[in-house]
Amino acid sequence: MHIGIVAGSAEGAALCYRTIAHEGANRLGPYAHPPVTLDSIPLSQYQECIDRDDWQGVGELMLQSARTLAKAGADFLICPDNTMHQGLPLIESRSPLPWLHIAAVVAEEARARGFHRIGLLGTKWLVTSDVYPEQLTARGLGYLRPADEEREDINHFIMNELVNGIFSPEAIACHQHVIARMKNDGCDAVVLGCTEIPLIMNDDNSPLPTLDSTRLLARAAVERAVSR
Amino acid sequence: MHIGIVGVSAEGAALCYRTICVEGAQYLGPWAHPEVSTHTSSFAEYQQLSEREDWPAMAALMLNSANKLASIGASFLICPANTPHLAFPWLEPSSPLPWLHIVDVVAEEAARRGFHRIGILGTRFVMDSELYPERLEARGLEAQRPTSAQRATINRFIYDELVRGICSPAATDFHQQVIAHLKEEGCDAVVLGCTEIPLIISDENSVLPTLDSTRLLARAALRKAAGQP
Repeated sequence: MHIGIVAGSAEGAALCYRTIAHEGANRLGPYAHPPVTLDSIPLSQYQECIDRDDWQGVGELMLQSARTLAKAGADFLICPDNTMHQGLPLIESRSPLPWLHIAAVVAEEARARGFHRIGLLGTKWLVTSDVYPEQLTARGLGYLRPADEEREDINHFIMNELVNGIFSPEAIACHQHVIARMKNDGCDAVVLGCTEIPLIMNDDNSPLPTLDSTRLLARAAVERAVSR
Repeated sequence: MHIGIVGVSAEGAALCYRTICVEGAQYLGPWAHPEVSTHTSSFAEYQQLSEREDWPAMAALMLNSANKLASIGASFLICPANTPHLAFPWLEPSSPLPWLHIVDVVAEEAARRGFHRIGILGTRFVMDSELYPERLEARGLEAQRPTSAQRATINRFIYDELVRGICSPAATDFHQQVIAHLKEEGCDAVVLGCTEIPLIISDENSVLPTLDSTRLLARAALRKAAGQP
């Protein structure tokens, strides 16, 4: 099957795309992977909608990429951008192709690994939304949102550094600090719920086990593409 | 304009794609970039065709991606992989869209910066070929290949490590040694003529100034799409 990627932020989309290529080799043999088409509408267009809280507008842009990818022959779609998933339910019924939902993939992994209470990291729009709570609660799992100040700090690093391809020690320290606080408050895992966070955080430098939304989505997409 | 990327090796394609998007902001404002679409057939197919040096068949594979990108509105195409440029003579006559040729972009930059003698790094297919020498000589520049033993080792690091996303200190060390040797041979710059080499080598750790084929292609595409000279 042919994987279609509706890209939001390019750094996360690039990580997802290259993970698909490498995971493909694990399933299909050296250098092999399913065909992949990616369409990337400028993040600035999404951001204009997000800034005015226009999730329908976000959804319409996703639908535009979805139609482009359907025309290129994709069989199903993924969006390696967590924040944009707030627009997905608004357009899913009109989508030409089925989607793998990033938070459903992550929540399924959290359940499979036996975690109970999951800390949420991501943009301020994502961590105040129901994108993750809905999927986690449906599987009987608890969650914890960042506090107001933590939310603003993390959002600052994502929007001003990570999506611009900047990876600073300050950003790592900030994420570590928030994760340590979540651990103290009873979390047993943390969702890297912005597809750029895995560029700076992983199991080696995180106080809690990480659920890497970018790579989990890539692996789920390869699994689906090779098993049909 | 809408940039179409014919992806071959994913690491190089990902670096090119994110360079276009991140650097787009310089021309177009915060978080802005031209629309970009990529289509990538399995790299295993490209690898097998390279081994057989079957460039006409590789051109057909690239044409399949090119046609998909044309059908979804791309205005021009780039291929952020150097080796498939050996297929261009078979590809270009039937291509639905114009291309920016990675070697022309690099050679143009080498001439602009006033270099004279350029070391060539890349897969064995690229280093053994006339791809770079021809286009550098056309601009009055000289090309210098690594030794045959060095070419074999570089090729092994590319296929066994870099295209698989593995960046080892051994690979970096070896490339640095070859670049030092090219400098001794009189080169004043080195082409990173495999789009994965910039994952381990840059101006920071190279004794010669680098001509980074991945980022130079991304920047040329961005300028073309943004209507910049």
